[in-house]
Amino acid sequence: MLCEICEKNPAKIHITQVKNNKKFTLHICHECSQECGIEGASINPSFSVEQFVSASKLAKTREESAANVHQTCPACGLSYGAFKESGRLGCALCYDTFSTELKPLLQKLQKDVKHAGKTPGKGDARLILRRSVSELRLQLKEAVCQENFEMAARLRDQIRDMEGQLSNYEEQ
Amino acid sequence: METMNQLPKSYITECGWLRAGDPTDDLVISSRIRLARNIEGIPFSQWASSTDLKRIAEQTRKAVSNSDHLHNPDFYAMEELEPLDRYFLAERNMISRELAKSGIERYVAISPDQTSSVMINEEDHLRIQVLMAGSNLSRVWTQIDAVDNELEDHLTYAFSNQFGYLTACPTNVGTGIRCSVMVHLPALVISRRIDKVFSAVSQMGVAVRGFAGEGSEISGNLFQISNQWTLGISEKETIEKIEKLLEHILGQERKAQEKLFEENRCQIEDRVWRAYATLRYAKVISSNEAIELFSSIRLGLNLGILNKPRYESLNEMILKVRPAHLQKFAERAFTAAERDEFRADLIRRWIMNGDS
Ligand SMILES: [Zn+2]
Ligand SMILES: [Zn+2]
Repeated sequence: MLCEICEKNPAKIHITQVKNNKKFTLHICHECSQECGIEGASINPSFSVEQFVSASKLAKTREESAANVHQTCPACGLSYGAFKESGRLGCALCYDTFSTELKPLLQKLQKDVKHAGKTPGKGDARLILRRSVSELRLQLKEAVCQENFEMAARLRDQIRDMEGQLSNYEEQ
Repeated sequence: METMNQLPKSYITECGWLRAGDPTDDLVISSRIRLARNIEGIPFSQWASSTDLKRIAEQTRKAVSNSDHLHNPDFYAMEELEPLDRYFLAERNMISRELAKSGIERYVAISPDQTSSVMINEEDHLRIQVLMAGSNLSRVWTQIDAVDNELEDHLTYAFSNQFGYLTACPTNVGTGIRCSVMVHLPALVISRRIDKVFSAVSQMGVAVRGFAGEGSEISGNLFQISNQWTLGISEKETIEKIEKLLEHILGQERKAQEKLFEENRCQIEDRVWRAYATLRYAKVISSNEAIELFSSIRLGLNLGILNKPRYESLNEMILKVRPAHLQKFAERAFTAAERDEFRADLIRRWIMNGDS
């Protein structure tokens, strides 16, 4: 099974949360769990254990986990350290890769961190879908980091849905 | 669309964008907007392979030649242009200094009226720019927005709903817009009130920079007002904000001019006529000295001490006395000393002809 956040690495950590008699399950990889400061070792009583290892957040601030300077962009190979040196990003995907690190920087540089201007007017449904998927993926990661697994599971299902639609397009 | 390796002769005598817009503006020289855009799926220029850069150039070139709002632009490869021609375009603000340094697969497309250009493989894949005389941001925006929309029919821009148009530098991300208005503020400088006016605007996402002449020194009391924020604010809000601040700053300048003239009439008149006399008779003038003297001439026009030259003609001279422009005009290379002589000569003839 692949990690439900990055869909790249094998899922090694399985998170289950029961809330209002509903069970939410997430499967994520080691790397993603570390980025969110979640470790599979300790057990939190609010999670049901079953065959899964529960997760709990380490007493680590988001800031610390964000300062993951060794991370590199999978598309262009740029490291966050190299970005900090040159002040220039390598490709569009860098914005996804380093979004956690970029947000506080943009908060300082810019008026806000959410785009408020014009959007490409082209009605390419596939393109719009692809963009939404990559954005939902960011939200998914954030939900996991905040231990909001209910939200995370919902986002994961939404992503699956959209990816289904995307593969339909590809078949056409 | 053919790639040209030489600038047309008409460029030397016709400063296209200086005639478009409102060349008669007394305090505002020019209004410029540029948009930073990148093509989806290709690394930003700095990290792109030469094959990538070629792809970007091919795609953009096709898009550019199909744009009605660019009216069959001329297309130049930086590699094929003489260094002098590249610096000439940079002096005229039609390409950046960065692009003028050349390098492989760097291009610029320029509309026949010289108001609109698209730089290819600068820091971002595309830098679209529109430039007009006077205070004209709204008109400039209408043109650049139309060009941007047309190019988008042929290109898929890198864009995210969260961060907007994605750019190599996070200071451009979002709208990718940079609006710059060049203004002349002599009275605020003379009365030492300029810093106060500028520190008030710097907290509002707007920057004011001195116009750098040949060195990095601020010269000619010329200043560039431009937006810093590109994320979390729309293009329209950005333009409105600059226009509002501009109005405020220009109001302050007019008030300062009135007060200065009232309290120091003789000194101001002396300053203007000395500048006039120097330009009329000097045999050697450096580029920076010329820009300073032109500033006093412009102040003289503002206050009605002089009734010529026309603002339009003065704006043109500010460009024509710069090094690459002079050498293009003379059709030969100069030593620094020859350049200053030739410049003085050109200015003398311009003043004597009344207006030229
Ligand atoms: Zn993962
Ligand atoms: Zn990247």
